[in-house]
Amino acid sequence: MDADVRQGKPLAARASEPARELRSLGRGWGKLSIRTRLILVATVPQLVYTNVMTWLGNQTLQHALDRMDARLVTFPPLRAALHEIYSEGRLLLYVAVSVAMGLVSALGASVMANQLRKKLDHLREAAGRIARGNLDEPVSVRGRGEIGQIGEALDDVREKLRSRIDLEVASTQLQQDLTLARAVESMFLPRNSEAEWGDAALAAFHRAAPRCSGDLWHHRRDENGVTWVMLGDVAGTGPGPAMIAGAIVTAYRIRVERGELKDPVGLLAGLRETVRATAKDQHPAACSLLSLAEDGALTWWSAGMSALLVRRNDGSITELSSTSHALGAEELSVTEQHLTLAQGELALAFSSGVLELLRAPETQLRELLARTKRASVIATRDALVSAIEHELSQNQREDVTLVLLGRSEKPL
Amino acid sequence: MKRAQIVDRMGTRTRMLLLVFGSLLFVVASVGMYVVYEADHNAQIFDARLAQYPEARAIYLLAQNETQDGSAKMGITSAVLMLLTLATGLYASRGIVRRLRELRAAAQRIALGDLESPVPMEAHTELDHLAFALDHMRHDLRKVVALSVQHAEIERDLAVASTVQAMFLPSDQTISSRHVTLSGFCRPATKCGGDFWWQKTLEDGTTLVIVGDVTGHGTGPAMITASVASALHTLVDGCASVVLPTLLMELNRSLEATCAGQFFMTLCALAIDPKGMQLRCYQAGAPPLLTMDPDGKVDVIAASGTRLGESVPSFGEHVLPLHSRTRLLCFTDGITERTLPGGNTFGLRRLRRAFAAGRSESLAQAADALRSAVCGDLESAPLEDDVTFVMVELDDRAA
Repeated sequence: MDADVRQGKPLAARASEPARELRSLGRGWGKLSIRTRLILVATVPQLVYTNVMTWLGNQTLQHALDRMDARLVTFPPLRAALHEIYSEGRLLLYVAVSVAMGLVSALGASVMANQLRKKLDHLREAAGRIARGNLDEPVSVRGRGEIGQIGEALDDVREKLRSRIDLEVASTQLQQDLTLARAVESMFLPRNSEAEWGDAALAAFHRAAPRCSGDLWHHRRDENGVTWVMLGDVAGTGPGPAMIAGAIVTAYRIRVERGELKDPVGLLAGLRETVRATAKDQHPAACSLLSLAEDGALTWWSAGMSALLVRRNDGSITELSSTSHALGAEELSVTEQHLTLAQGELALAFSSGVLELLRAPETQLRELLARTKRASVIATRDALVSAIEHELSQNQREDVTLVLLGRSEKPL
Repeated sequence: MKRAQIVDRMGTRTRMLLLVFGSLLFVVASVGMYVVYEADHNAQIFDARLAQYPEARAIYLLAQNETQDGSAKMGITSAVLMLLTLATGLYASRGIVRRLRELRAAAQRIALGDLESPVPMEAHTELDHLAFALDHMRHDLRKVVALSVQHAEIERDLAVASTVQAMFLPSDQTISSRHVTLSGFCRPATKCGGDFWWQKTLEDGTTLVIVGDVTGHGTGPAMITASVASALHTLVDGCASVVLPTLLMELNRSLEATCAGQFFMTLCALAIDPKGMQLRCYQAGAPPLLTMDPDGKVDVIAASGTRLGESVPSFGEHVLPLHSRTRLLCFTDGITERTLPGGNTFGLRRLRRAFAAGRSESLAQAADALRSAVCGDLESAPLEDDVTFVMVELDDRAA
């Protein structure tokens, strides 16, 4: 990091020659440990001081003697006395005293370095504790000095984090809750995502959003050989819409068992009752019904689902679109559209979560479907899924549901 | 582990200058004392050696005069040296102080919530261990913050889910129909729960009350209660009369089809027929039903039965005669298994007593009192399990 910064500023690095020398000296100093630095700082000036002063003292004495000599004041007993005073033994004593004082200073510096080290260690441990999420223990370093202020800043961080709830634990609990919710969400949906009946085949793909959302689908083959697919999408994300989706699927199943598929619009009206009775108009649920008879007659009832794509054998795509309102709106509005599927052709119903994943929602899905040519229902689904797989693993926010219903090539 | 408080009173620069200057002052003082001692000592030597030469003192004074000049020089040099020492101290402390201030700025940035700017690194000294720790902390805090954002999103979703679940429960706590008053209470342990209750008065005057509890609590079971509520709504809607065992069998089928044996639901279903003065009670693995006659005598009606969601269901059935002003209490095991502050569970006996205590009050007041007896005074006290009960009273008019 530091190296990068230096490379980023080449001009500053090309300082003038003496300045660079000074800096390299400074850098050498910066490499020393704090203890060494303190000891040097405490003792070196002292030694310099004592030595300079001693030298100056001797100089002064010598000077005085010279001046006396110059005035011819020579007096042997005085010289002897001076000699005794400035004997080598006494100088040695002087040196010993200065060394002892140097040692005392070094000791002082060492104690200070220890204190500094201790504080820094405390700060380091505190930073580590906070990073690990242990927020109970206060940072024990405080005060007005730089180190104390770092300690107080760390304690501030700790307090701020602590004032939120114990995130890690709570988040794990929520995640577990959501995992269970996703499992329950999928319980409401068909367990088999592929089915074949000789003349018709169905393949579906459903993936619940990481935080749940409200897609639902169901399929059924009735006694007249008509294949029914219901696909719905409750607005919003999270377990709330998933709950409503579960309620709709349950109501749908009960109504289908009662034989209400004879009147699909009436069935959708019944589902609307379920939505209105619970979610009022706060979570509208788009819902569509698709039926495919043995002769290839395809009917699409839509309440709020925007489109149905049909792949033709000539490679073109027919799009049925609807501007009806979702269940839960003030009025029930259902559109009913008819088509005939030839053998090998198929219809694709999808939830809005698919479009969220595409860059050009209007055209991309059509192109993807057109590219599958005359592949079987299952192969088509696999091709579509692999085309959106990457986006799905990265950016999925809503449930994604694809249901493909097609007429098989005539089996002999 | 209790740590002693460490107080860092002064700046590091001040501290280092004090160290440098203090040790120098120490030297100067020592030298000064030494000089004083020396002067005394020297005078003694002179006295001993030069006593017999009276003129020597004059020469000594002369010699001392000669050193005056030098002493002045020494004083100036001493002052200069001390200033130099101060400068050295400043220079020496510069690096450490600069690093410490950088780190202080970094720590304060982090405290203000800026987790993007990196902590400056210069891998040389002990200070950089701290810099490394700070930067590490910054990195981890970013994860924590990301987590908390995600957490907030989930919380928001759960708040919506909680609202949605509330929509599946009857919207009024106290409901009066033709002959029956009932008061229900449902509080999930977390935002959503697996408890639910439902009531409906049919055209034939029969009031149906169902209190259910899906295994577990949280969002998953809440979805199942939504499904059961929806099934009830769909099955009963528009029916003039309902045969309760058939309805329960339908519910069981729906639940089994959905959950495939992974979730079950205990359930207590009541059909109160005011005209026939008859109560039919069906239980599926649920806690017993409490009844209280107008005199305050509480009976416990327990019936066996399997939970809903089993492949071969069976329901315990009781048919009881009813009198006016009879009260019924249906509840989930979240009440009896609730742990009280002392460590005991709330238990059936305590519940019976609490139920009987409210006999002279109105139904709504009695339900309120029971709620605070179970959940405590603190509305926000956390529950281990969802708590639900429904209290029913037959009107005088029913007689």
